[in-house]
Amino acid sequence: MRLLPLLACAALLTAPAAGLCQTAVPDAAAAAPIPAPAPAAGDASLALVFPALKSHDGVLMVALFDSQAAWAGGKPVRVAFVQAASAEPMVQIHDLAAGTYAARVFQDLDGDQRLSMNPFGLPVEPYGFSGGAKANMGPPAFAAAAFTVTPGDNAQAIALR
Amino acid sequence: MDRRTFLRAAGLTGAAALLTPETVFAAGAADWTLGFRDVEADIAPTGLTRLRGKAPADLAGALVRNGPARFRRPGGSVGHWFDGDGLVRRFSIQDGEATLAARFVDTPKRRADTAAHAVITPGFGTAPGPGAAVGGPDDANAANTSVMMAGGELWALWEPGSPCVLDPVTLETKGFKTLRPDLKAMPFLAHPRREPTGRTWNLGLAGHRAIVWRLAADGSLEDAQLIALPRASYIHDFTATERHLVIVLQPWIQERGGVPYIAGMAWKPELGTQVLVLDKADLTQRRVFDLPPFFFFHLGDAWEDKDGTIRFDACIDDDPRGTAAAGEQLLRGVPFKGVAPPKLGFVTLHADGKADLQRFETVAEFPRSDDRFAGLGRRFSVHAAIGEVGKPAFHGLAVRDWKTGRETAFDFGRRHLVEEMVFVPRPGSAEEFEGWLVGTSLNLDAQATELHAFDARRVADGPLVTWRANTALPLGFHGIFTA
Repeated sequence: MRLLPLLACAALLTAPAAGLCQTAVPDAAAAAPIPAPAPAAGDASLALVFPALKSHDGVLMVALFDSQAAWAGGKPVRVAFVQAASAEPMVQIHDLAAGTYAARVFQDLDGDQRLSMNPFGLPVEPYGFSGGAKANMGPPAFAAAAFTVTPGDNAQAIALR
Repeated sequence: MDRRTFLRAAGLTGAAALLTPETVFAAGAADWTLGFRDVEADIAPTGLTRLRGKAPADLAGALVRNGPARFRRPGGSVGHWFDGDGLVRRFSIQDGEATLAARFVDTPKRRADTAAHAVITPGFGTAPGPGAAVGGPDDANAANTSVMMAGGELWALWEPGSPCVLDPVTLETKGFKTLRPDLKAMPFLAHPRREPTGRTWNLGLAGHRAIVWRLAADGSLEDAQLIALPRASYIHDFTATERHLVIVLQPWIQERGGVPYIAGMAWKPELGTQVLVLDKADLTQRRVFDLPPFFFFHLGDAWEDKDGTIRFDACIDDDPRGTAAAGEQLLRGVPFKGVAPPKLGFVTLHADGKADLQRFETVAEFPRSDDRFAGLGRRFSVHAAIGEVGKPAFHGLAVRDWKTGRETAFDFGRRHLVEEMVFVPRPGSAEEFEGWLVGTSLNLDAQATELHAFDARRVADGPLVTWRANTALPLGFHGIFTA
């Protein structure tokens, strides 16, 4: 059985660099940085935790999306990252508008700020999606990973595999 | 005749839970259906009964075999024989006695299908079921085709995914093998080619692309290179000489990806069969030979004459109409209509670029030889033998002497389904085929698996010793004999 291309790696995750938001196809040469989109202002905050990490190496890189179009187009409304070395790494996102979001994360073990792939296009670094959504012959849809953010504090756990 | 008597006579007691007499009558399930039964649970080490003969004094070690052993679940079953969960079977021979232990490989596929009470994981011939979550090939890895020793580790081999590491004695699953971090989840065929020094070559296929693996004797990765193939053939096995890799490209071509795998395959005999020969020392040095079209699963070890002629045996079908394309009906005991079993073939690749295929009338599958002569000039091949049109199993074994052209065979009769025989060298021997052939058969009358050892040079005499287990294992694929 040949499961290629199993995951559209270009659509799986963007690669934030130096605090700027950048939509990047993993094999493309680095373009001029695109200014970060204006954060959706609001009175909600979101904490993301990553239980049961198999490794505490590298950096957890998170992208948050507010629509299926954004999810599929690799255009997050927010990106964040945290060193995986802490005992319970957490990402805090502030001033979010209440609404429906989905998040995806990967663990950058080799420092290239991309979800690394094997030669046949399969991820070789841990990754995960919010809502317990799983990849199945490709990344899950936005709806499968979606969760609601209400005014005030919100929290979501994402398990990486 | 009561239900139980009928089912026993039809060789179906193992499958009784899921087949009613009505469906059996209606389907007319064949007597060999026992070979495709489900095993429900691991088998703790259990002594076998020695039926006849005596084990040779210096035959000691373990025959470790792999094969699918769980096909049917309440909510849905596999769509092909090749998609059953791998059950690794360990027949230990010590001091003239034999013991059997068997353990399912603990894979994500088995866990997902168990939790769903249905086969939801897609595969070679199985479509995904509701709730399938295949993030990569190892989520679908059935770990069911063969085994190999790599250093001190036992690896269960599959084909489109990683080897799975098991404890060599307890058979406990340790997890999938990653040979290098950037090569995680790359495919690894179930038929690596080991040189007598222990260096091991293997391929991993993805359409027109392949990875060539080179492992040291201790199982560590020495090199991995990507190569392009002239066509996206289904490749289950390849062969090698001391200096060359030999990749046979049959005209069963993957035209589109996705699952089940066979849904994307097309038989194109007009393309013929190509053989790609690569220089092991420089994989960019390649030659392509042309042969008439044929379908195959298995090849024998190849060797090269001084003048550069490359030779190897193969087990050849006319087309994929049998097990490959129709491996679901075997599970229901439905024979292949008008499909002959594979037969022995012999390929010669001449230094001038010409190639020949000889085809013999001998029914043959599961070819093996003396591993100490892998890639070197050799005389003998052993294979499963004696079959019938439409039947997916064999009733005997045969040894072919390529030097003389002579064959010797032993026929167990129609009530035995005979599996792959492995050559075991006699300790201290140096000559080719000085030793034993060790392998199993499924006794349809006794409803039990039997273990046999033959003198490799005298198969016509029948087994030197036969033991019988207290259970019927479904037919498996490939194995090894380890010390």
